[in-house]
Amino acid sequence: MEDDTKLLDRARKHDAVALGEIYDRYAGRMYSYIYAHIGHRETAEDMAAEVFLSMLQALDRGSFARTSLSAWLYQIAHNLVVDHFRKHRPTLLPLDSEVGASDPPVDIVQERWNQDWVRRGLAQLSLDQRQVIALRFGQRMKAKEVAEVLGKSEDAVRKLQYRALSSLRRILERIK
Amino acid sequence: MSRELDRVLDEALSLIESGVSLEGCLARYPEHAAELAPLLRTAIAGARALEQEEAPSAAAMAAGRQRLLRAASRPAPAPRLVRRIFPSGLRPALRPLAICLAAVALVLLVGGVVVPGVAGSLPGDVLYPVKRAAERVRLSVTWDAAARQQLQRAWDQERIHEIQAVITMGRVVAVEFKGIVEEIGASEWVIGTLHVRITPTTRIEGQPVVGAIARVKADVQADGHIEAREIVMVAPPVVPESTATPILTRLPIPTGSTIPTPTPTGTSPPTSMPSQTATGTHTPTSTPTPTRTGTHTPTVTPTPIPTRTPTSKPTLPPPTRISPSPTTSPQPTEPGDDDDETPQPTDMPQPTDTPTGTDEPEPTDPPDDAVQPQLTYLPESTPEATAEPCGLFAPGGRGLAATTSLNLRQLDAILTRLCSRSWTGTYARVPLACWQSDASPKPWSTHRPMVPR
Repeated sequence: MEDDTKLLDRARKHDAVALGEIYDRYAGRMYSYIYAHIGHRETAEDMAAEVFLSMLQALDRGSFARTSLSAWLYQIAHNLVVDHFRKHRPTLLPLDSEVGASDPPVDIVQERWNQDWVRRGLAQLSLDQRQVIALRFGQRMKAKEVAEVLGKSEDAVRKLQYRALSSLRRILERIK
Repeated sequence: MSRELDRVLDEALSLIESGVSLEGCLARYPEHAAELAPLLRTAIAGARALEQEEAPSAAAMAAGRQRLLRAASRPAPAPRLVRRIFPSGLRPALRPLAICLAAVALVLLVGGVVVPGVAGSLPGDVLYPVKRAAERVRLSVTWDAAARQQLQRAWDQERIHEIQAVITMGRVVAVEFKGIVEEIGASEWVIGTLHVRITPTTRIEGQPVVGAIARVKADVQADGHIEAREIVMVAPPVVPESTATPILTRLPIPTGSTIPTPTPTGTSPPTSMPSQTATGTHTPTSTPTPTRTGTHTPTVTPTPIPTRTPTSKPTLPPPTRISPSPTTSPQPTEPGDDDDETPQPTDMPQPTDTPTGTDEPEPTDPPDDAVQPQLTYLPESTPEATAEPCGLFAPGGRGLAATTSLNLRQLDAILTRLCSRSWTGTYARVPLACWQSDASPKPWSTHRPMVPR
């Protein structure tokens, strides 16, 4: 398998094979990462495609990845997520009223851990906390890899991870 | 929150990812178990929730791929200036410094001023990277494609000179150059006149072919050998077209005085407009024999090519066609082997074609020097087709003079070596003349040819 650096060099020259290879290699991960933030399939699909168009535009401008291609793509994806949330305020359900009232848990233990409930909790996190959770648990990255994407030190990522999990825990406690 | 707890949490998460149970994980950190347990449960819940994503539709993913490939179907833009000067990119912190240096280099080089020490620097010198960066700057601001090509050729040749210099100095240094593959041996190649050793670790990219252009990364050893690390074929061999090598077809190259050239001579002087029939039927009254010294082959046969269609009465007669004619009548100095045979001209230069036009050529303007047919030894329109004599192209003019420490003798030696290999020495002195006389490089076709050596 050709390494990412060579693929990028060829992609810079609009080599269709190289661009197709990059897309095939990373499109699923980009979708998954964006979906973790957005939670809407069509939007995530559309934004995943946007990641690669943005990459091509960046290459045309003479920009190039200072990190790995993977980290660069996640950064592009995250910027798109941030832009998305700037344009479309997250429409979170008022947790205290709607959760539980409209859908009372039958088995509280099972229900607490259902994905909707946790997703609602995740949606309450700050963007950088959600980002670290999405990368660490959604993309199964190590702290070092997360650090590369976020442009932070590993220590900073561990702190952020700790704070994110603590916050999520408090939110889940609150909305149970 | 302590730093210790951050680290322990991360380690515990890694353990869970690797398959260790929550209980097993907590058992490993009993002193932190109380704090870790709720965080790990939260993390597990988060991971499960994130796993339960809606899969993307295959159609949407295929459409995304098509969007990308459609966007890429337009040609890639040319690299930007900074990218061209610094191909491997620049760290943001270094950008201001690099821009200042590039600006200074630009002013110095474009303005024709050369920093002492930079121009003559060699691989391994402190100032050598400055020299190379300055070259890239100059190349980046040269928009004319032909001029860029000319500069590039000059610098390719400069790299070879530099390597010859460091070899002479016995310097051990990494070098990089580009040249024509002249020989391919099992353990040694000749590229751009340099002998390059091939080792088992040498990486060769592309199909090695004699005549191709290769880019070489190598190490010059203390003993003067060049050991290749990487050889990349960057361009296939240039197949010279008929128009690309007029030197060989139009200008008889002297082959030395050992081979006599039979020359037709006769009692009547040659007419100014010989025709094929006249040449063929005229019987010499004397019996000339090939001589060692008496032959004087016409060297120049300009073929006037009417450049415009005459439309009015001529104010001056149309240019008279210069026909090839022996300037001296060779006298036999010693009898040949076959005295009883009349040697027939074997190599009489024939006019390629007679200028034709209307019955009454009526040029509107008198022909002047500017429209006189010029000898074109290398086609003006396709200078790149003459890949081999690029060394001849390159050294002319101030550009190289300003950036090399070569003296004329060294240059002459290099050119002679190049020329004797490919062009039988015909043009060895031409570039030297250009070097000495011209302020800027010009296409060869604008120079008057020199008499072959």
